[in-house]
Amino acid sequence: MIFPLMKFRLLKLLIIAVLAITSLDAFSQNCLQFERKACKRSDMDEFKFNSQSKSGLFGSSDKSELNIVVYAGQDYRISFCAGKILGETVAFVIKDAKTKEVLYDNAQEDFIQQFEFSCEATRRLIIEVGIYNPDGDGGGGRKRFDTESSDCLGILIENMATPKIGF
Amino acid sequence: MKIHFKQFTGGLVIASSLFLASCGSEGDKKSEESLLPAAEQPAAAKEEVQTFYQIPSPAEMFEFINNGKLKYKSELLNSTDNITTYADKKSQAINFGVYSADLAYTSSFEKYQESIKFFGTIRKLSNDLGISYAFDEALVSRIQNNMSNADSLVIISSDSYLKIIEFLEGNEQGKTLALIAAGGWLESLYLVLNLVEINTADEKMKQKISDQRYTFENLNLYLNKYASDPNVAETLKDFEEIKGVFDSMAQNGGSSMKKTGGKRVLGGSNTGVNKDQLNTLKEKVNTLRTKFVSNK
Repeated sequence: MIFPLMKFRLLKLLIIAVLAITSLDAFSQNCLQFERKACKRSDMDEFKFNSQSKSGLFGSSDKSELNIVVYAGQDYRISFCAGKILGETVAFVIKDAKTKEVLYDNAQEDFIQQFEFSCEATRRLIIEVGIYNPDGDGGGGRKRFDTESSDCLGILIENMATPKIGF
Repeated sequence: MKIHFKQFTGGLVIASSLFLASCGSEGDKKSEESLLPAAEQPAAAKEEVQTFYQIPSPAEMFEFINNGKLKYKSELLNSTDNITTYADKKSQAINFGVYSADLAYTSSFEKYQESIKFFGTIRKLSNDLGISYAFDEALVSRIQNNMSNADSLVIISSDSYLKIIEFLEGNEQGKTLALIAAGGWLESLYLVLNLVEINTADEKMKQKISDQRYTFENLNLYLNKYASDPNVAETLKDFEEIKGVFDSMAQNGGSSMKKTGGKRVLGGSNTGVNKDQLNTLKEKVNTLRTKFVSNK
């Protein structure tokens, strides 16, 4: 009588273990709210989470464009973050959505991962993102949007009313 | 691989209270190209790039335009009694967005009882749409326990809205999200246009309203991604006259990003807008909003 009971308990433990592993795997693969968990938030309390933030799974040589709207009279802080598999450094370019003119490229500033600006004119912007790979050979000794594996990449957008300066 | 910002199937819930915000979804290379003027057409694509369109939430839109100048008028809100007339998926999704915008509006004016009422209505619609688990008991409890705290109510509403967005994206229900976004954006603009006295509004306010063209562009591109769905196609048609009004407005110039005093500033010219254009916009928005909420 003891043996079947032990067998049942073992089976139960096995099922729990399998479920736990499965859950862990699902969690690790899920990029949901990655930007809120992994990207560094501003130290300023005035900056609030902006709903245009986004996270997703990135893979080999992937590149994406996020079209956002920024409103005049607001300060924006855009932070980027990527999982360890991707190397953690995000390459990004910010363009005017209408003219496609490049307004900023983080390659110019040693691939900084936070970008802050005051918005004086409402505009649609394109945030083009990929993974920086310093060992690539895609021009200038680097291949900016390249990786062999996949992991999460997040874009955290925060905004606040532009502070008034002066009296 | 082309997964990028497409969330995994395990994704979750949507919602924010207040709107429809970030309605990204699966990327698409062709939709934008077909909609944009020649100047915006990208050069021949050299690599595969996925494109996503985000829409600021109603709460963010109100915050942008309000600046303490808008008043509270409960008579503008969609009656919660109308929920009984929303029997089809299109009207349910669109009015989910409408009520979300109404909730954002009532929350921002600290109208607790009204907010609870709209929250309950949204919750009912979420059942019809099969996205009810965005509103679990813990969330409902949080709301009930914070009825007297305006900030908490706004935060909880926003959280629930974002949960719904994430859920729909995670479950590849982009077409439903597109309809929710459309309803939310329209209701937000409807409220603003009916709270502002256009003929006497200052230039700054008029500019802010016309700036909604940018959000509309993203919304329009987003809807176009799902144009193969009959409900979305019909909704795109519904918005044609509003698109025509925005198209009639002079286009703003390009943008510049300059560093001034250690701070980067995004600037650019605005061409302005006249009151006749805004009055026409109001008329078209009011007509479509009536069609959506009356579901006729």
